[in-house]
Amino acid sequence: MMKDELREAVGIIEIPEGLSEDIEKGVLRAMEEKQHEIKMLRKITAVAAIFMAAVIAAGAGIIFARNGRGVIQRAAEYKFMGFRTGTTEPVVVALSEEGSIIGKLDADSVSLKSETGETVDPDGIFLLSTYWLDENGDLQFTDIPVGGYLVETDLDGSSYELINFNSDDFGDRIIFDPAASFLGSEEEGTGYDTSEGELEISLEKTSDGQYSFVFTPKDEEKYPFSEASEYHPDAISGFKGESLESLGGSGASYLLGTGGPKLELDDGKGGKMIIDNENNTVEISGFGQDEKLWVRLRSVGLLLKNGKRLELHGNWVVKVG
Amino acid sequence: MNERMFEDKEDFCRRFSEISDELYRIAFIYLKNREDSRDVVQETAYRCFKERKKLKEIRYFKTWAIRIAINCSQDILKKRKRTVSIEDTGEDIAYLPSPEASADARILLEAILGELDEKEKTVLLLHELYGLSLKEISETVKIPLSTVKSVLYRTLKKLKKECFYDEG
Repeated sequence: MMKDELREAVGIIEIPEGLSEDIEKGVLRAMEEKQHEIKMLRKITAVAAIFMAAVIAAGAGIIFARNGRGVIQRAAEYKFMGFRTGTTEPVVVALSEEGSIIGKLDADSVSLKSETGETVDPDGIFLLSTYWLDENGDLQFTDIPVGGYLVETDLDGSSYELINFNSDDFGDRIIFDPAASFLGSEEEGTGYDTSEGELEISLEKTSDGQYSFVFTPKDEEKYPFSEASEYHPDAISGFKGESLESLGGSGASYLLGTGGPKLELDDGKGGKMIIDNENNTVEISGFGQDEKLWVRLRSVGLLLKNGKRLELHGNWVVKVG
Repeated sequence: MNERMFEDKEDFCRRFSEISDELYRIAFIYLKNREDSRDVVQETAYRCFKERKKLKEIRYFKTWAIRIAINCSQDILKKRKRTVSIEDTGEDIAYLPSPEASADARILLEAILGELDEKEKTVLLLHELYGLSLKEISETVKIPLSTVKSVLYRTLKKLKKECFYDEG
């Protein structure tokens, strides 16, 4: 029903004259560009080959690198990335729309810095890429979705933690799991989906009527959990049925299992959730039997046994009663 | 995929023309401006032709092009936010009161153009009009599946309120 109405509505939009010319122009532009690229590449390759020969002969030690895009990296950029000094660590860089490197990740300040040490304007970032040298010393790269960059990464494809540099969501921390192929957003409180994610989280009723969070990894080898976990309580909200009603929160961080004050959340309609950090339990009351309670978690952090931290976000349905 | 999926440039243009009206209309939903929407069609043709090797099967061509058109539209919107135009290009009246178009359809279009944000438009179009699954939308626009679900829910609720649309 909706599809037909939508189609009718969209169909009202008038089509102007000249679209076929627009298509032709677009295709011609692509064809001309391709011709230009081929010419330039031949030129650059020829020059670089001559230069390389001279450099090797002179023993100057300046290195040109040819990345997978077929573009010769300028020596200055190569140096800026640190590869000239022999580092083999991956380097995250910000590229402008023209393809030049405008910044490099500074892991200490968790920001992108230009060659002169200034913070890069996120609006100027067109693409982020991670570059590294492979075992043959060749420069490799992988593009990162616009707006994100790597803070921690395992090149074998385990989880990454990204900070969003998109101008609209600047500074938000998001999680990228290539296995799950999606991003999570702290701002929106979404992330892993229980139907497809790496972890299942549920509230289980204990014998004394309390509830406790249970984290069940689907792959224990990949996500070995430690006992400690933490969460950001003001990000915990819940809603009944199909509507979202915040249960409130205090804004502080708590470490489950290590003591700290209890967090009481009240939806103002008789529903209550009490999170007891000391005993790592959650007490839920005031909801009907078999009533669905959606628990939404943000910034729940789990410390993994390998020392890394995995952040969780998402919505889980818990059956009460 | 390989370049031979399209026999030649003319074959590509022909196939692209078959969907260009739709691409224009999608762009207009975001940009509400004829000239910008035409730019999107041109840019989409440019990107599709340039990247045609990436297309795995011809049956995905339309969906692929639609995704590119949406991205192009969003790029223009981002640029608009960063610039102040000396001229007020304004929004076009995209359509004339047409006796063929029902009042409901006009109300729905006005709601889509006026009330929905970019994300809501994207999810609505891709899911409700083009039949992409929520998972496909999540992968296409690189937002989490749960976000797609909540956006869709919110969007339909909004339209329901604006248009007294009955989910059924």
